[in-house]
Amino acid sequence: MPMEPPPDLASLSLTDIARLLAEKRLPPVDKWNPEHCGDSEMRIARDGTWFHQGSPIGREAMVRLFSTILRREPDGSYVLVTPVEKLSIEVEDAPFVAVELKSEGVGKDRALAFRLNTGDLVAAGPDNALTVREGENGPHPYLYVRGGMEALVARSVYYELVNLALDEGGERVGLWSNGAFFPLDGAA
Amino acid sequence: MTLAERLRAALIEGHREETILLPSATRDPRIDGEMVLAPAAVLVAITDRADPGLILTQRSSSLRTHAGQVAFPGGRVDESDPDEIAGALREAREEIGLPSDQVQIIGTSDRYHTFTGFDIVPVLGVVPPDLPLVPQQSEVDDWFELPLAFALDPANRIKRVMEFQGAERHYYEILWKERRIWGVTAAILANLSRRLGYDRIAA
Repeated sequence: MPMEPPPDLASLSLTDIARLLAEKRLPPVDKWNPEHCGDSEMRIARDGTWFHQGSPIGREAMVRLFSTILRREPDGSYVLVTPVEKLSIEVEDAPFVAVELKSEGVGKDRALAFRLNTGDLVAAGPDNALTVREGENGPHPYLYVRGGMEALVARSVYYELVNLALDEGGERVGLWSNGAFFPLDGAA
Repeated sequence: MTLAERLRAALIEGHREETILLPSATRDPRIDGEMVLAPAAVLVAITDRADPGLILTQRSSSLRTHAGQVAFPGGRVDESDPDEIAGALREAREEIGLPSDQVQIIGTSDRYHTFTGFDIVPVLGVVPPDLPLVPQQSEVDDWFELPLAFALDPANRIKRVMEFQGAERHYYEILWKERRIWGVTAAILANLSRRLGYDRIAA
């Protein structure tokens, strides 16, 4: 079937999704099970930039909108999903990038909140782990966002985290957030 | 020459020349404009023995902050402290019961600015050996003495690098018996090592 450009894929109107966002509710993507019907011809680059047919999507609101209907499939692939359509999307590394950090409190009472490139806010804690994994070219820090999807922690944010951890001292290089400890030294 | 005289001479000599110091942590980018640093002081307590020792504390693992950290006795300089030396002495008294009148002050060394805005002054002092020090359970689990020469020997300093996409942060780690000294404490020891002539780098 011929691929329509992504703005047409949704049976949910822009207004509908915008309303859900405003209510801080995300579309129930986990409940939708339409037939897979193709490739969105979209790609999320490592730095979080969204591309469509090779061109960056400049409109921030559009990216934010698409990010709300992004889902990770059991096989690890990513799709954009609506009640009636499911299109695959290529993700280079992680679908989100954590671009800003807010740290409150110290030691075990610390709380870390991240802002994602899509505008979402994620508080690190027992359900949203911060992990450092060895990649091809060194360790990469990730933040769990939702539904099996993670945010790559931006370089500047990682630098802040490491500096906070070095100041903090303690048994291991790492930080507490909302009652959970997250090692940053990469060791298991 | 007594130990105190030797250390004083070494400290003065060490501070006379330009030496490459470990840079303090870069300022927190979230702090705009002029950062107001919180004054803090630590006591570098050196025991008066043939092989001088260095007294360090191990913070309680149950603490809300800096749990399990190996550190110099010390902390924030209070408004009631006349100066940093008084602050370091008070903290050492409160943390491990070190009587202030037993400390022969040698001098202060390079300030270390932490990322989160503490301006730490190391205060060097010589103390008699085998003082009956008692850790205050609320803050400090334990104290221990390791040979000063071991703590300052650059060969015992392991350089660790945390790197991600070019954002590099180095820190030092000194492992002595089961103790792990790293972060701010190891950085201050590295600077002292340079100032006291254990680690001369051609500038």
